[in-house]
Order: sequence, then C-alpha cells, then structure tokens
Amino acid sequence: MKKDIIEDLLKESRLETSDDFSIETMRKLDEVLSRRMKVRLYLLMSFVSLVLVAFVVFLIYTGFEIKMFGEIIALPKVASMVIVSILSYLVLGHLSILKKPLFNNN
Amino acid sequence: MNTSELDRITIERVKAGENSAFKQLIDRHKDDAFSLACSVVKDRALAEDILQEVFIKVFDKLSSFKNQSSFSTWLYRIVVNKCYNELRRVKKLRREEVEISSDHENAAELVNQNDLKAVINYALDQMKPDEALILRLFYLSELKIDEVEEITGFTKSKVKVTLHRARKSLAEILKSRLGKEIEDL
Repeated sequence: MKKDIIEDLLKESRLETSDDFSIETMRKLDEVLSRRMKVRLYLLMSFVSLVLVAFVVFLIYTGFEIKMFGEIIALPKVASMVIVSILSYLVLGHLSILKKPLFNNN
Repeated sequence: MNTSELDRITIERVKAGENSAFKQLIDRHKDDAFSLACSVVKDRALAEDILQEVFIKVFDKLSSFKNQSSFSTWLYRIVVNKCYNELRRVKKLRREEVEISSDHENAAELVNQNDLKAVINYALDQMKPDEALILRLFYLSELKIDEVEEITGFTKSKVKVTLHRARKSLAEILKSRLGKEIEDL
C-alpha cells in the first residue's frame, strides 16, 4: 500500500466530539472559576473572622471597659465567649467548604 | 491568517480577561485533540471527559504559555500525557469492559454507517495506542517528526519505527477488512 493512500485514508479519520462539547466545557470552566471565587471569598472572610476573634480575646484578657452614657460598662466575658464561638463556627464552616476539591480528579 | 496566528490572537484576548474567547480555541482544536485522545484510550466517552479536563487545565496554565511552540503542539502534548496517565489508571479495571464495549460500538458503527471513515476508525481502534496516535499526529494533524517527538516524548528513531510499523499494521487491518476494495484505492 502506498504512503499517499494511507495519508488520504487518515485524513478521513477525524472524529468529532458531541455537538454540545464546547458549551459544556465552557459551563464547567465557569463552574470552576465561580467556585474559585467563592473559595477566595471564604478565605478572606475566615481571615477577618480570625482577626476579630483574636481581637475580642485580647479585649477580654486585658479587662477592657467601654465608656457609654457616662457609665463604664465592662465587656461581659460570657457575651464575648458567645461572639468567639460564632466566629469560630464561621471559620470552621469556611474551612469545611475549602476541603472540597477544586477539580474532580476521580 | 493561519491557525497559529489566530491562536496567538485568541490567547492574547483570553489573557486580557475575555474568557468567552476561549471557546474559539476549543472549537478550533477539539476535533483533532479528540481524535488523538481516542487513539490512545479507545473510548469516546472517556476521551471527551479527558478533553474537558485538559481544556480547563489549559485555561489555567494559559498565562504560562509563551508561544515558544505552537498552541496545538502544547495542547496535544497535554492531551497525550493525560490520556496515557488515564490509560494506566483504568487499564486493569476496565480492560475487559473497554474491549467488549468498543467491539460492540465499532461493529454497530460499521453496520450503520458502512463508509470509509467508519472503517478507518475501526482499524485505528484495533491498533496499539502508540501506533494509532503517531499515525494521526503525522497524517491527520500534519505534524513534523520533531513535533511528534515533542508531543509524545518518544525519541526520533522510535517515532520513525512506530510510524513504519503503524503504516504496515493499518494496511493489514484494512486489507483484511476491505479485501479487494483496498487494492483499487
């Protein structure tokens, strides 16, 4: 068999993807990009939450007092702990989202 | 304007933040890349899945693409690497399943279409992945030996030897499948 015959035959061998391949790939790409944005946002929020938690803990242990309407209000430790718990919960929530893989590697 | 030039312009647009332009790159290269993927994995559904992952990876790495080689060469190298990795991963698990399903699919395809394209693709499916891949890279994608070498990671002599063997085995399969018709071509 001559080379040019094989060449001609192989030119016929181009396979075609399914019709919606490009659209489906772009949709998946959008999903990945959107997820990546969410992850970045969660990371930022987690960082801010952690800073706030650290700040509240700092206030508690330095005995910070708020002066309001001419009276000194001590920052209640119990309330502070509630805030700390909420913030910690938020941080843990963000971290649990981050545990999901960005790409499905099967 | 040739394909490389079009690719370069499209890549610049994607790099500038126009994500939708990436669809043009997909449209331009999907069929050739799909044919190459099918040469290696011999399974169309798996080849499409691999190709989708590859295009997403390519989008991520596009900023590091420096136009030193053509986009198609770069893309095909990623496709081929991914396909061989996938083939190694699923080979033991799916060996029997792939053989059965591809035989059925090919038989059905031959009965339904009964044209030259179906026959040539049937023959390529029967060949070893390396041989089918090199034939398609050389003749379908019209790449030079150097580019085939770059994409597959094979040495130049291995590419030449595989190409020679591939031509022989393709001819044999086609002769056994088409008989007299092939002599007339």
